[in-house]
Amino acid sequence: MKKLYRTLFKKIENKLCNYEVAFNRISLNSLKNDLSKGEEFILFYFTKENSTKNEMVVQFLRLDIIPELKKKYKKETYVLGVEKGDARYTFDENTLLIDERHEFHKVEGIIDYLDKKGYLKKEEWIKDES
Amino acid sequence: MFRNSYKETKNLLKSGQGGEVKVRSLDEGKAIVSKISPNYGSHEFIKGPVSSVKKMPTGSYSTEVKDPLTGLVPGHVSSGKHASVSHIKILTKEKNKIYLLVDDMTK
Repeated sequence: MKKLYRTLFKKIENKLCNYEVAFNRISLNSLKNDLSKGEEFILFYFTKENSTKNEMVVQFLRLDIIPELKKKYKKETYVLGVEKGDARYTFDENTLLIDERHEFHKVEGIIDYLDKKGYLKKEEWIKDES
Repeated sequence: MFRNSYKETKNLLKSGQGGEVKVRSLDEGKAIVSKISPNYGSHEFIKGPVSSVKKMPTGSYSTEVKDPLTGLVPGHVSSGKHASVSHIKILTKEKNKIYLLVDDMTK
């Protein structure tokens, strides 16, 4: 099981600052709910490959509820970004091992894509509600 | 100059694509961001591991300044595309990356 973290943001003196917390699995309903309220998810974990510590960052949010994008995205749309690179450095486009951006019309699309690619297995971050 | 870089940035933002735009200074870059997207938040890293520098919320920008002693932007690997030039990284609400690169005329 991967050790997952989530990045959250706090506004301090008009500037957005990160803080990171351990991420526990979330139910599909809560995930849908949070995304519909405009929450953005940034999840990440570390991997070790050939003695290099890499970092995988998965970021997604719902676009059609953002006021200035409502005209462009008329139906339910989510954007997913996946980046992977050397954990020691800031991610620079040409040094990334994975740099993807995709759009989906359902939350399940994001879950299935991440699962299929092996980036995040469904059971690693989605709670079974049955 | 400002007009061109402003137009280019605006076009990138409008087209829903990422890309690079040359600016004369960081101040010019900041002026462009505040004109085009006044509600974009400035993203800062007060403390923490390099890990946190990679994660920006969409609809924000970060100013990354080159260290004159090393010639590199702190945190970047030297082979990185944007390692040796001060820049502003904008992460648009659609999750595209726009870089405003300070054109170093002394090079």
